[in-house]
Amino acid sequence: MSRSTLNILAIGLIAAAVYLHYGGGGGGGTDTLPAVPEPSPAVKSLVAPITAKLTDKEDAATLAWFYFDFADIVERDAGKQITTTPVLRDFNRNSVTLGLSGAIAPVSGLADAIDDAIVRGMGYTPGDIPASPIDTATRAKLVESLRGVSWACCEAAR
Amino acid sequence: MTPQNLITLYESGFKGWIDDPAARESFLADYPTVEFANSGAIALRGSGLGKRALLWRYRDLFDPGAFGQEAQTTGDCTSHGTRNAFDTSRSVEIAVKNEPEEYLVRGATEAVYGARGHGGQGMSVAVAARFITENGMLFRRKYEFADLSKYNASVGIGWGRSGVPAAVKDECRKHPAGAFTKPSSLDDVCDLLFNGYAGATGQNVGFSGTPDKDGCSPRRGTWSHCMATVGYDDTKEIYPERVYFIANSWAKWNSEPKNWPKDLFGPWPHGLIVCRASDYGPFIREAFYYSNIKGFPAQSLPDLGTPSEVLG
Repeated sequence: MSRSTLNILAIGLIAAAVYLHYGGGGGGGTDTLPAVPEPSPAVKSLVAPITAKLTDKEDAATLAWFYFDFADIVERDAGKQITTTPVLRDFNRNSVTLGLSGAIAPVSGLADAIDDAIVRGMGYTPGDIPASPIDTATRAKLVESLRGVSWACCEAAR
Repeated sequence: MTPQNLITLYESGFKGWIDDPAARESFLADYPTVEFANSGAIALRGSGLGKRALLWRYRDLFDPGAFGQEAQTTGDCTSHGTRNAFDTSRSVEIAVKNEPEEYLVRGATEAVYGARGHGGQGMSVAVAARFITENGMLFRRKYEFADLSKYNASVGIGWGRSGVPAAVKDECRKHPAGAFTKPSSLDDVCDLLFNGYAGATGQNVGFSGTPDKDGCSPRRGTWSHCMATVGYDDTKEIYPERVYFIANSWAKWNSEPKNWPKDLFGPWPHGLIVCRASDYGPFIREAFYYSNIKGFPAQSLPDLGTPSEVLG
């Protein structure tokens, strides 16, 4: 069942986040950050509010790794499991909740800033995201946006 | 009408399902590729053998307790069986196949029954299949032409006499069953169910309301009846032989099997018949399994769900 598979994907992402945050793989600290490519100017503009909100470098590094892995999972999935925006929404909510709860200190408005950057990066309007299949072009934008979020967090972690 | 009234009525020879070979042959002649072996479903052949599918659970997910509600109050079993199959396939498409639709509300039986083409009681399953394919389904809501938010058999009774109004058909066409398949064997039924297609069937077969020691429903009497097949179990882990799960439309008319595997199957849906494969043969003569149902488009999403309680 696809929901079970999604849960497995989410657990993979969570495991990666926990592993990295608690000292494995070089993440979690600010010494090693993911090698995320510099995004396009348009994506930089979308993710700039994220960098501005993050003041704790350790938390920023944790988020950078989380979204770096998130992008990687979406890219490798290639639309097999994360097929539609409602499925993406479930996956996003579950992964962030289970992977990051208690791992970082909440920052007012950070969730909205990240959500907004991803939604706009996919070409949608916040508050009015169509419940529809995610086509190849939109998935590529999603991956680019998630990497942009990771990059923004890296910037805050430096 | 109580469940006991319905049992007595059907056991005394009442014909809720009308065996109309001419209507069936005409329908199949118009759609020659719906026979399992001639259709795209042939690619599914063998996929369901030795496995199980519990499709009613997906409808229960969106419409809890639906199978124990809305007992028919006239001879409109064919519309109930067809609606139950339609809603079950629709639920699977949303919950399992991730179609971006919403269940929203239960299908309504009235227009289907109204399409039977006569003013008396009873209906051919093939006629119902033609209607929901060429037109579609209404839902439990208020329309300008009728309030169908609650089951009202008199509406379908009336449309049977006068014909389904054009405005009703127009509304139905927003929600057709996009495809249907007629199985030719018991194995075909497993393949269809395993791949998420529920079906409506018409047959002259009755059952006891008291399950046997294996948890199966023994044959008893003859009902000219339409019901929905909403699952099967060919694993033989629970039952000594393959069984098919049949949803009746008489609400709480029978007893829950004592050995119902609740941990594995979830709550027993009221009215469900556990039919041994050795009793299921008559259920494939007039049987149509539905797919590609056009339901309700999902609403826009407000966000991507990034939780503020975690990130702030």
